[in-house]
Amino acid sequence: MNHAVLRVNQPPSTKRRKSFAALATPYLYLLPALLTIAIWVYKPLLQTLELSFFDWNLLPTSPKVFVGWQNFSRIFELPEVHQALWNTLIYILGIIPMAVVLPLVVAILTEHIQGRARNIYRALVFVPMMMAPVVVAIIWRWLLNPVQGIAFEVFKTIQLEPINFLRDERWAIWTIVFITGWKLIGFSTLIFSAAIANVDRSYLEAARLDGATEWQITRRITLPLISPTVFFITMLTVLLGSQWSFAYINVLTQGGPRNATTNIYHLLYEFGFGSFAIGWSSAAAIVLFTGFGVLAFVGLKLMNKYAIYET
Amino acid sequence: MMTAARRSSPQKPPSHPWRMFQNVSLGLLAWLIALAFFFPILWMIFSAFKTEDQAFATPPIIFFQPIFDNFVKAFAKYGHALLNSLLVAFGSTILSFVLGLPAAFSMVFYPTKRSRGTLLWFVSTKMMPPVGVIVPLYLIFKDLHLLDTVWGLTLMYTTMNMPLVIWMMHSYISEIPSEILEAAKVDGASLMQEFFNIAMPLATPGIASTALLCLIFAWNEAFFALNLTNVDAAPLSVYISAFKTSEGLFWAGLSAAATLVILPVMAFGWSAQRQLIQGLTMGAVK
Repeated sequence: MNHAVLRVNQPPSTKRRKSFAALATPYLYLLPALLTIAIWVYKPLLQTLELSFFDWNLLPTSPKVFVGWQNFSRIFELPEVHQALWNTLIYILGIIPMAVVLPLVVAILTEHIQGRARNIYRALVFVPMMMAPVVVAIIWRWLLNPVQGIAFEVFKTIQLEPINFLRDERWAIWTIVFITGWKLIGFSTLIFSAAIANVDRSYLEAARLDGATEWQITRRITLPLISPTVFFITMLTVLLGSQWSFAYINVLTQGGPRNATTNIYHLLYEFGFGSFAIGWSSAAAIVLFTGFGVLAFVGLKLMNKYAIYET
Repeated sequence: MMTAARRSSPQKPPSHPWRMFQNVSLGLLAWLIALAFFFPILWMIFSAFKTEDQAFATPPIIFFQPIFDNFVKAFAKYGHALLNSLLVAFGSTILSFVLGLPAAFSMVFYPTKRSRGTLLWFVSTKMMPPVGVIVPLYLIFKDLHLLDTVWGLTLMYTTMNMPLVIWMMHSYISEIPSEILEAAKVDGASLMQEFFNIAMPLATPGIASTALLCLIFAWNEAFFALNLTNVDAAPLSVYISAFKTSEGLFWAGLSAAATLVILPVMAFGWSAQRQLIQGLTMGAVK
């Protein structure tokens, strides 16, 4: 390990020859991390790809039968898949108001809250974000319980027909959307608040001196300057929102009633561990990876192209 | 600072009362949102201190004599799961650092053309939905006899958190002034010495907040736990979600158990709020 002497900050043009060990050591530091990802992420990923071409029921004794592209053509014919894809879109679009719009409003409203109040406020929005999704699911199941839940009591008090939020086909998916969004408000609010705090104060003061109203300042200065952050959170929500709702679907509705709340993530889980159709499950996973991969790529390109940066 | 600026602006139209009213009402609105937002958690914590009868009472009881029986019962019932949760959370966090910290260090101190790409590649693995690879993982776990073992779950959470460690530690280590490093190099420090004597001590605050996030994520995780453990290695999150079968029978007891799950996180979260926020917002904001 005594090769460091040779690495004294030289300009690249006058690079002296380094021993192989000195060149390789930094890579050795990287290797364990690369191997971990290769073994625990890429190996299963390749296996999913492989399984997507086979018909198999997960039993070690039953043979895997190669079926080519059949799994892929079959899953697109299944009505559950159509429903799940449609629901995935509803989840993505439904979560955006709660994961992007509301946090943005809250972050702007609380910009002026200072000192102790600010800390308390942050703590309030901070807690749900840090909570286990399983606990979140359980709290909401209790609040929305059709017999003794608080929601039921409220409906009774204001003399309205109580809604069985998790069992009613019309309401169930929106309930899950709401719960997923509720968990996300804190995170987005914190990110937006941080972005707003980063805006150069001199711009705001200059605008104030020129007699701009608070609304004008927000509209013309703050919002454009934090637009990269807004775009980032929007993209994150589009890419991951539907995935985040999985935990709540799994605990609260298992995709029901009558597939009303299932999304593509939950459906491929059901295919895999529910009906042991490993081929279908894997094929759906591959379609999913490809779809969201393309979406991520496009999003990244758009982010680089349209976001307004300071300076 | 801002109030000072506001007071000193001479062209301010004589709309002070209106503006005051506006600010106060907007502030009130923000607080109302926050309270409505926090209510479900408050309600659960309240219920954890009620008897089952009180928890089920309609209309809901707001004032009551708090009891601790539910917590005593929860501890007795979930002691084993609590231990598993602690083992897995701390074990995976330590392992994530053992693997991730040298990688982050190497990418900052010895960057190559591919370093930026490698860093993004590490982060990109966090975008992968676990549900898409759970079947092969289950098979691998079965082959290696890792199913329902604390060790197996620890490995899984390490894989989950390591990219986060690399990403965050990369940013923290990058903030170390390059002069310090160059001085060390001139003094003939070896790679090992640079790592342990310079990078590690200077990045300690970053290590603390990153570790906190890793602990919380591992503590909260339920998907891998539900599918890869059964009884022996099942952490708290699995026990909590197992309640779905006996729906709403013991709400006070369940509230106590759920409060136990979120209590450490809340305690940590409140005491280290600033570091956590710094950690979470890192990379998202410039």
